[in-house]
Amino acid sequence: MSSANEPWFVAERSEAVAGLLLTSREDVRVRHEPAQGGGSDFLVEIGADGRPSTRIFMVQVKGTTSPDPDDWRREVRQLFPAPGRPFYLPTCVFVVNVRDNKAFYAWAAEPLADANSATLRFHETGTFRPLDPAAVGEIIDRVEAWYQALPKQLVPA
Amino acid sequence: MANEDIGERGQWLFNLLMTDLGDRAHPYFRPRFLGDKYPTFDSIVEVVDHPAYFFFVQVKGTTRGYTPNGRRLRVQVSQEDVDRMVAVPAPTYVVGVDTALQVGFLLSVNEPRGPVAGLATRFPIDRRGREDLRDEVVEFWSARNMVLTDSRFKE
Repeated sequence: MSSANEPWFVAERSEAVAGLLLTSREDVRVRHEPAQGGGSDFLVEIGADGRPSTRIFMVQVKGTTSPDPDDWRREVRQLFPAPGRPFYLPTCVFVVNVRDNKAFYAWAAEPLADANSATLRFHETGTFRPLDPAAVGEIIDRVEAWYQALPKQLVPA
Repeated sequence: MANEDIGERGQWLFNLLMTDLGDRAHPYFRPRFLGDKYPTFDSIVEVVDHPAYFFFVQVKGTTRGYTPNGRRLRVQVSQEDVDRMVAVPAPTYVVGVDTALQVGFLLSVNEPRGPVAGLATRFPIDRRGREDLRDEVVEFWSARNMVLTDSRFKE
């Protein structure tokens, strides 16, 4: 995992892979900052017109040099919601193998939307899936659907 | 996609290409972004394990592809930027990045020349390109004594 003890390129390459994957969708813009304990936090804005958007979600990016998920699963557990540490936005965890650039993602705060409500389901451990441009598209579509349903939740009928 | 977004994708791809590990334990290079306000250059790149050996790069990302004969990536560098690059007493390069195919190409801009109207694809940033670049930069710096002796501010 990328941490204070990891080589510099683990964090820097994982950040680059995550940025490339996220911006494979032309309607997103990203801002990123180094995260405590290594890795990066991305704030992703959805909006095609280039102006600041309020449709945002969070991506916590971690790098690894190991192709074995057992090597990094335990170490990314801290990125998932714990009691007293709620998330207020849809949030994903990306794990990037910086040797082969393969990436995986899991929802930490998963957006759930239906005709009348928008909620976040918190996951204490992640169910990781392969991350590619198609998966990024699915992530963004789900966040968009959540934001479309959210006003019905916030504004009483 | 806005130009600044293409530029950011180009910068990320450039970082990935320059820090590619292959079968090595560490990359050959460590790029450091200079910031949006720095003129002409986008990154200073250190040779790993030789922090005194470095070069400057202007990164040009594009989605416009290649000239019809496929020999040039459709990026441009102005005469003003070329002149600034030539004036720097360190190795300087333009890197053209095809953000669609996710490949990059090197061009040395160390000697006087005209503006770049398209970037030749002869020098891809692959394993051999990285090795040749590392050798060129190490040879450049190791052949020079860059120590400032007898500074007027010496203690």
